[in-house]
Amino acid sequence: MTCADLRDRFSARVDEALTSEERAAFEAHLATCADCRREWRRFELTVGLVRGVEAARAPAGFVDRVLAAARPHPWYRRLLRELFVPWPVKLPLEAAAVVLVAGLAIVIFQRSPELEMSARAPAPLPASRPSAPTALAPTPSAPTPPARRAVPNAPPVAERRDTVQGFVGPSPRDAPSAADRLDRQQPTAPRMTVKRDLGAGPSPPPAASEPHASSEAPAAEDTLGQGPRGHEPDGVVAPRAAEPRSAPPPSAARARGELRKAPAQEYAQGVVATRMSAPLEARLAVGDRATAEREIVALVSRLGGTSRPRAPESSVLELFVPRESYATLTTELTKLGRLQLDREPPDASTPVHLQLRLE
Amino acid sequence: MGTFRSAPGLSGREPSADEAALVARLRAGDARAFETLVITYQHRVFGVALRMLGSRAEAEEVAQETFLRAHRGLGEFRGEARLGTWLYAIASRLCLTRLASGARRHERSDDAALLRMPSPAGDAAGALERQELSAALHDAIAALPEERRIVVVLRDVEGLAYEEIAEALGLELGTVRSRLHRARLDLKSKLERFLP
Repeated sequence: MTCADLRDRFSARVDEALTSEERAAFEAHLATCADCRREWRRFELTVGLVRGVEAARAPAGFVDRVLAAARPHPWYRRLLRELFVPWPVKLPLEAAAVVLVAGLAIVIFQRSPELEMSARAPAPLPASRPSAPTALAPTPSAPTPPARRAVPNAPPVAERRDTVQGFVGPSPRDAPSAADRLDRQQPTAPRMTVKRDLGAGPSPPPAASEPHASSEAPAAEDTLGQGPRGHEPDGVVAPRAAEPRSAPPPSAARARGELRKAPAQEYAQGVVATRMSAPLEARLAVGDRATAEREIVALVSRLGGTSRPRAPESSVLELFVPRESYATLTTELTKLGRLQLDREPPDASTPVHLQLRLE
Repeated sequence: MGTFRSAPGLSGREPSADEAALVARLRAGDARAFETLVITYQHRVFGVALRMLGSRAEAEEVAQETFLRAHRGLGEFRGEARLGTWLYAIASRLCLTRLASGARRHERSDDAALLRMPSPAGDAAGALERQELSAALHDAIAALPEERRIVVVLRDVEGLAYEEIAEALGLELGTVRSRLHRARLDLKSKLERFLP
């Protein structure tokens, strides 16, 4: 055994891992080699020093801390941990996701007229009597009194909200959305005026009942903004000069924000009423639309109902007739042309709202 | 190098009956069993982490994480190895990962706490010498390459068998022997002035 062989076996020797033959050869070489004997002694001492190191002790309270950390956390803490830890990574990602989702929601909301209108307050009832809207037309010198006072016999909210469908009814393919139409017909009147006129709606349907108006109108008035008053129902165009110019028209976004401040109860009632009284849809094949429209308007008026003239590019008439006159209406319409109804009106006392497409 | 025979301290020891019972209780979700595990192995796991990392705070973090991982991974424990070996394996991996990451928060080691040489009372000169030797030993161990340091700590400080070290570190037995021998020679050369 050479010196190098011997020194390679130092670790095996110190760990008592040599066979008996190897150990005998090891001891024999040590007995004859002073250098290897010295090196072996130093090696043995070194290992002895390392092995003699005092055992480390965990700090006081270590066990308790481990047990506390291992204890299952409440679900909400685990959830928070899962959601936000590590926060430098997850928080920016989650913030970006929230912004993205919010943006998408806004885009979808804005591109969906039905959603937008369902969140919007009711639009005014189409007018057949010009006197009421005229009374509402503002003048530069005298501010318009509260709408509720201008038309004390305002229709019940539920019924007035039925009329909202008159603006919503036509699909975007057939006609512009209600909001777009409002903008076009009232270029300077903010959308908020739609809400403002809630309590001052034009002529109510004949079946309107008085008590609702007194209870609902103030709530609607509470939601009024500071913008100019002066929405005119279709067919009655108020002069632009009549609108107060001191107050800038609020933006549509502002109008929507104010609408969201409306009392929850009123909002809920409006939505429910709107859903419960979805307009009937009908098609009437006529030869001359203009003639037919005039006759239909006259017919509806005779029946005690109201009608809303169709927009220039639209072929849809909005008709509101008392429930008891509905049968007469359909009979007369049948005389004008081939009438197709999608369904029968609900058997209720509310006025029938019919969207009649002239073909 | 010579052929290693089976000798005490070299071969892996079979889990005792008590340890098997403890493992069974741990797998059953017995909270007291986990407490027993932590109490039993806290100093050893902490010691490995302290000698590898050189900082008591960092060593405590690693030791705590070791037990938490063991708690979560009890289902993966096969039961063939000893619980201690399994814990050493977790702690060693955590230490080596932390050392390799370079993202250590506690760069300075706690010299006084790292190594203590047992000293008989009433020997002032000897105590001073031992203190100096203790510091030199600490420096020598800390200066070892990490892959050698972990082997010498597990073998000479914690007393694991070669097979246990190989299993804990995922190394071949020959690699363990080689690294251990080189580590000891490194230490010997660094402690020359204290040796006769």
